[in-house]
Amino acid sequence: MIALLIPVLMPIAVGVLLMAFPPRQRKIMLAVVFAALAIGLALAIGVALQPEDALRLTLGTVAEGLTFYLQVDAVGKLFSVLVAFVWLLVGLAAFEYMSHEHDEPRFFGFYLIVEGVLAALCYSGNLFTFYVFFELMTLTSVPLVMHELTHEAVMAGLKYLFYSVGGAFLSLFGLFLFTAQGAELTFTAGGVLDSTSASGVARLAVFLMILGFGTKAGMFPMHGWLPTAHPVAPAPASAVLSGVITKAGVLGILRTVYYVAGPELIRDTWVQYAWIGLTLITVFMGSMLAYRENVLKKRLAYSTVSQVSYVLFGLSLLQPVAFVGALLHVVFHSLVKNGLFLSAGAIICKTGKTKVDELKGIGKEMPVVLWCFTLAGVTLVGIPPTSAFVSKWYLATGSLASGIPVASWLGPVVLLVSALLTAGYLLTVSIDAFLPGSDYNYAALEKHEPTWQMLVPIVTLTALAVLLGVWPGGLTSLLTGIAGSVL
Amino acid sequence: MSPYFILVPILVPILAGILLMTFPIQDYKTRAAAVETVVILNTILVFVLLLNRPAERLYLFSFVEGLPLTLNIDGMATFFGGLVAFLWPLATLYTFEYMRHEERVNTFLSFYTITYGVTLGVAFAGNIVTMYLFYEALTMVTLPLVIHTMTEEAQKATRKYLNYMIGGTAFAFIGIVFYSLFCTDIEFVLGGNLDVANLGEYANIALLVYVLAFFGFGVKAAVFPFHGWLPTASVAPTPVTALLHAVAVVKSGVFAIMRLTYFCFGADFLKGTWAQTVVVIAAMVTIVYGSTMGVRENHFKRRLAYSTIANLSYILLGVTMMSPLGLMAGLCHMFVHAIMKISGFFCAGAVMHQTDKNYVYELDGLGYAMPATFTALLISGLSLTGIPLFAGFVSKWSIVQALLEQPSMMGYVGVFVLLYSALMTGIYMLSLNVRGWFSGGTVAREANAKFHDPSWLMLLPLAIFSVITVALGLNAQALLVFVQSIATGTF
Amino acid sequence: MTGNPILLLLVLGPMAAGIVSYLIGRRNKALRDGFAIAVTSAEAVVMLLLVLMGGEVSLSVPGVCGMGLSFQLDGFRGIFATVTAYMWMMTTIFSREYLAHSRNRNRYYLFLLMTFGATMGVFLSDDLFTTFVFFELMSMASYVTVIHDEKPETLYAGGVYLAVAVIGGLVALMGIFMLYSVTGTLQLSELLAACQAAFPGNEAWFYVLGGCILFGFGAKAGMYPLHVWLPMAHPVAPAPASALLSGIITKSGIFGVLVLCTRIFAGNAYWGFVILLLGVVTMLLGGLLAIFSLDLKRTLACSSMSQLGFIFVGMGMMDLLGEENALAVRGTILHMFNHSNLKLVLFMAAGVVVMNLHKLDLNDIRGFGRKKPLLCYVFLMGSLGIGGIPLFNGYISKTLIHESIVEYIELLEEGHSVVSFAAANSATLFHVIEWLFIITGAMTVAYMTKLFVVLFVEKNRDRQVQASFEANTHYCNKATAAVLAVSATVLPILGVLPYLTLNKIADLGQGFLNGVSPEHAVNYFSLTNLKGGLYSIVIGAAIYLVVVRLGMRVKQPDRTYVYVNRWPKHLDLLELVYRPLVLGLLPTVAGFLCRCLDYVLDGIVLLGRKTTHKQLREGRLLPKGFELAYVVGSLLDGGVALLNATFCKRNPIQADFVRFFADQSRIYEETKREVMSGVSFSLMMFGVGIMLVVIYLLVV
Repeated sequence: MIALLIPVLMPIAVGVLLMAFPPRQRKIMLAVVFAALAIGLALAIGVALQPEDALRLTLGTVAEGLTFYLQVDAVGKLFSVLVAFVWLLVGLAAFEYMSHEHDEPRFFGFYLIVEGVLAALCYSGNLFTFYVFFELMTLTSVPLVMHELTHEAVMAGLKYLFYSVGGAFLSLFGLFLFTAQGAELTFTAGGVLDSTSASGVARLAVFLMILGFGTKAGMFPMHGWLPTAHPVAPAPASAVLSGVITKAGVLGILRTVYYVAGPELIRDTWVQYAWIGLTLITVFMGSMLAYRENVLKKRLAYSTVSQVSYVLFGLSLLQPVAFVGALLHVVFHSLVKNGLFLSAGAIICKTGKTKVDELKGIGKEMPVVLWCFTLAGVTLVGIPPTSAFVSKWYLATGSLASGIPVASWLGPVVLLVSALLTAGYLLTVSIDAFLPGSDYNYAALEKHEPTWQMLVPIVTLTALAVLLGVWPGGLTSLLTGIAGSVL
Repeated sequence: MSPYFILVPILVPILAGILLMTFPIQDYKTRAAAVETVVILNTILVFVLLLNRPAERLYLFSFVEGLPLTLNIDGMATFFGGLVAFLWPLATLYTFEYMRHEERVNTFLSFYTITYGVTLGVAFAGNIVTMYLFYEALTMVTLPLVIHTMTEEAQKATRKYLNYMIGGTAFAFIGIVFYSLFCTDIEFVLGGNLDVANLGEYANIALLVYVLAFFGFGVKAAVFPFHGWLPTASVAPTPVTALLHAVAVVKSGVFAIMRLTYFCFGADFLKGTWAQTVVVIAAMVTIVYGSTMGVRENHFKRRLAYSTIANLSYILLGVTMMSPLGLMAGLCHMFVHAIMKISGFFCAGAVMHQTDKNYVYELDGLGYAMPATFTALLISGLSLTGIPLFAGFVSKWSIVQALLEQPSMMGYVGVFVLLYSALMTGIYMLSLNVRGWFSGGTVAREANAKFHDPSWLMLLPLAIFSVITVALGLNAQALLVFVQSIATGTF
Repeated sequence: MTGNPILLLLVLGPMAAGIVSYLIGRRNKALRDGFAIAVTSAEAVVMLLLVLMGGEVSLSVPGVCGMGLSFQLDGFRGIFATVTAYMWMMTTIFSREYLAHSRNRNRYYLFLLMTFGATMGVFLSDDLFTTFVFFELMSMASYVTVIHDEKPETLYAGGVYLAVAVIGGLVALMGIFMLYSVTGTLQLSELLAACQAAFPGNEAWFYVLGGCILFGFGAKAGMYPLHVWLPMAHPVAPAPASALLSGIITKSGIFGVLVLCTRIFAGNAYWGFVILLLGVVTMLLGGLLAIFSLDLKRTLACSSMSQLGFIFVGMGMMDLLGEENALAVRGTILHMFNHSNLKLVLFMAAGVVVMNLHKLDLNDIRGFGRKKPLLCYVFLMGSLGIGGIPLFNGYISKTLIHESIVEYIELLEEGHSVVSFAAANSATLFHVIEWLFIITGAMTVAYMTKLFVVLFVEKNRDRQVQASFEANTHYCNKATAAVLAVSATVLPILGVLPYLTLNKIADLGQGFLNGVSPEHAVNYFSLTNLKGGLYSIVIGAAIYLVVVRLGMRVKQPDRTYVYVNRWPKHLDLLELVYRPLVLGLLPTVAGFLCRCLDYVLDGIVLLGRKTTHKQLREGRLLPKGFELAYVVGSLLDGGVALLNATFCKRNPIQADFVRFFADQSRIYEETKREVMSGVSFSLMMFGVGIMLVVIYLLVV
């Protein structure tokens, strides 16, 4: 039905108008942006509540075999609600963070456009539409990275642009091959291609699509852009970039493997083993490099590289329990990582400290922000009552139950070593922050707590991350349903 | 409609050109009006001719017993003629604004209009001899345009241009001679009329000759070893580089190769032979070379020239697949590339005209001063890169369909080459816009603030091309059906 | 949510109370202390009633934390939950005075109560998942209580404690994953049967997962290779925190190992033998470290490690004896129970000393205890108890474990080989183990007498300090005195009437460890058992006289004695092995590897940009006429620059080849023009021409 277009076009329209006719007072602009974000979330939830078969829309055909087709299924609903929710919270935090930056209309304009494109990405019904909006997402998110217009930011943005475009062209090979073979690439659970007659090239194509979409998800060979783009982008942009846009890469791989090629095509083939190998390398490499990194935002960027590969590891096992663990970790990681990045943003915004070793005793200055940072850190490490422990539990048990010769036990070992390293690079920050030592002069202490606009998102994100860990029941049952339909 | 009417759109611009040269009009306004009316009149004549095509061929005369001079309007002729006719008025419109401050504008415009006629001649040629005649004439007529600025650099470029062209047509001549000896009928017929039966032991020679002719015509189509002239020729004024070196001259090279392959030697005869492999490899090497050099090049127009080299070999890659789908893909990309590239060159021209900046690193912060130009450049850049929602993606997609029709190693390597080239195009085209809008910060923005967009004369063609690019990107069904009918001969 | 929610209240109650106390504390400090004491005492009373009422109480909360939590209150868990509550009550009362004038007490009480809730959770848990959840929570929360005063050495020791806790926790998690993957359940009730069924197929898998879980829980229980944090954490932690730490938190580690020994490897002699060996080593090492330590609280910490070694020996014997392990089961339970009470008393006594003197070194606190009857009485009760002196509770549980070893030796001598592999069969080895058991008991007596003598018998080296010590009669307020007295008098009562008290507790607890009560009741005060106790006292006195009196005391010029630390400084497992390996070697090697991986694609792109895709720099056209000179010159300049940058950085070569070549070619051009234009040149050429003609004519 045509209403499906509204959650896509509304943010884009508002974004474009905002850039074309920037309102004079800042207050009006913020009100407009907040309204757009809130409506976006309401629309996303509204679409999510509709029954699945009502949500189909064919927009048009570019050429024979290439049609714009929107179709919403359970995965699409989950991702679109996650995107809209995080966008609202990070947008609210951005109001204060951007108050002392320049060119705000341009930032919020592109910020809204990217939300619209992401909504379309979640609702896309076939591989071609997905690819189109995947490319558009890259192009519209580049200005967010380059916002500060310093030479460093422009070079980082260029690197981000060319890595992503390169990755997209890798996955384009698969799209070309499958359309050339005449396959109708609408997303159907369990895959469209028949795995029996699959040729070596088809498997190569699937592997390249995994690598291509993996670029956006920061998988090993093509992860170079993440640590470069994050320190230069403004904190809300890097929060969204690593919290949600990496998940678009994950959604790409999910759609390719589970909804186009079908798990049977690559089960127990070199593709699956290579993919598992890559994800495990990334998991370890990401957390090790984060452990040794001193710039706070770069450390969080490396942590994103590692954590998103937890999800990819779960997907690569082609096993229902691991699949549920992977999707759980998608939700939890985007909540936690956005919380962490916003806290980092608050620290930079209020005290200008970007390095980790400058953060001694900051817990006393910004108690609420640092308490949330600590809780988010504890969640990411996977200390039991919190959410990432639940997803790590599903991932590990799924891996052990998958029966893949080496990976079944090596996977959990790497996950746990990476959890140890995560403790190494996140808990140490909290310890320095809250325990500055007995010689800390409490007299010279002055509070730097940010205003409510930044506190509310950080607290909500952290609270959700912890509470979802204690009561993950609802989410798990939804995901088990999806896993059942796909595997 | 009588066949003689085919001759009219060819001769009208030639006569007008000669007339302008003999009786130069000094006043800028009347001269522009005169030339523009002639060109538009001729375009209307062409479209009238194309709409109700005469059935049989027009036989003019024959040099010697076996080499007649005939003109004919078949599918290919309609396509190429229509493309040239559509672009020429817009290019001339652009030229008036660009050449306003130059000297010797009369000779320039006269030769510019003569070229129009000669290109139509290449399009409407009925057989390979006629095409060769107009092909040679095209070189001669474009010489004065390249040398127009009379600088020492332009002279060197023209000398190089001339050497390459004459060398190329020599090779092509061998092909024509061989073909005229062994063909049942010299006229162009889809599927070729080389009487393969009594070729006997000459089959291998035929393949060798085809390859030589391919590289002969390939000089104009800027195939790898013989592409040198295109970047150096970019010293010529923008209307020349834009229209000729992006549309007329190079496209006639590619058009000649299509005629040679599908209408003389015949695709089935060449399919699967070593000749096809050689030719495909040549195309691939050119693509890789052109894209890589595009990234290396810092001069704005030379970068676009290298991009042209790569894109021409896209067309050749499609054509050399020796299948109707291949021809269709080639034609589709020929049309789309013409639109994109001419828009790109016009943007480059506008920037040079307004700010006489030639190098890419001088563009910092110019986007805010010349928003319209840079938006057109963005659209043409995105389309060249092959981003969906723009025409480039559709033509690239059709070429890949041709490549992957039968699963063959050559096909897969071809696709990878295309993807590599797409990435390189992305790098060198999108970085232009990133420089325009983002790099250099506020300092560069103030420095370039004094410049402004060119007048509507220059912007109108840009706007039209951008609209076409986006329209085709959204729904290319019309173009694909038309091109399919030509490729399968049902037109 | 099926079952009696009281258990959830017992676990989550203190946590909520912690947060409430934090909020109260921001306004009224005294009210917060009172509130904390009230909560802990209420909890202790409720636990006592639940245990006395008897009866099974269970609760399962499905869906929480992914797998659902389940709690169970039976004999064994009831005992230790009560002990936890009792100790928390006592230490909270004590910490009111101990921390009277220190900072961050809100934070301290918050995390003290959080740890309390988590420890209750561990002891009441009915499946390994719940145990692990609360085990991790306890580790995290107890860390903050340990590093309360935030001194540099405290943060250093706290860092070690947290590292061991986190690494242990993750390794245990790996073990639990492997267990869950092979048995499919973690419920303690179903675990025994599931493991028996799954064991035959994959022994290696089981031993690996057993090792992992042992690593995790053993680390918290101060087992030999992972004991490094114990001697470091106690001296720096506040006394109540270290009392809880070594009293009850180590027992939660033991709880995990108990689940291993009684559920996963029930009756597995190999496993029992490994635990036994680890126990013996821990026992001995603890004793040695305690004797040589010159720090009051560090001695008590090492003594905890030694007593935990005893418990490990007990657990080892449980598996080795198989069916007849009644003695070992009762011995283990009772020693855990006694050790908690003993350490509560001793650490609080030490706390009083630290509270007054803020010093721990034996030389400084020497003679403090003189003329302080209450402190002397409390310390004496604790020392005698832990020393295993008859009529005190320590003696009872040590005798039981000793009896289990003797019984095993008798079994071996009857030729009834319990287990297949040789080492566990050799009676001589077990005789040695029995003697080591007695010697460690003796060492305990030795270092307790050392402490007692230093505090209460010897005088301080300089008079005034001794006078001030003796003058200081009001060293603790009424509440602390009451707490000390009560907890001290409990020990002899347990020791004197074992049949009424300790036996009841043993009967109550052995069900959980599926032990069965022995055929004939153990006569604690029989001659053979008393003889064992006597041996340890005599050897202990001997060790004290030889090692401490002679070895560690050095006569100073002014004829007074000073205690000297004989333990070689560098012989510290942490500094020698762990720290360089974990913080030094692994991160640098792995870091270098990862940095290379990280740089793979960036490197390729940069290589491309430098070579094939290098930007053509238009600007520098070659200077007219000097092209060759320019090209060769810039090449050589590049070489020189490279050399300067690398090898001869100190004395760089100054050479500009481009200018040199340019001058040379200019000179060459000028000379060539002059020569060519000169007349002589033409003449020379004419000469050469004639010569060639002549040669031609001659030759042809």
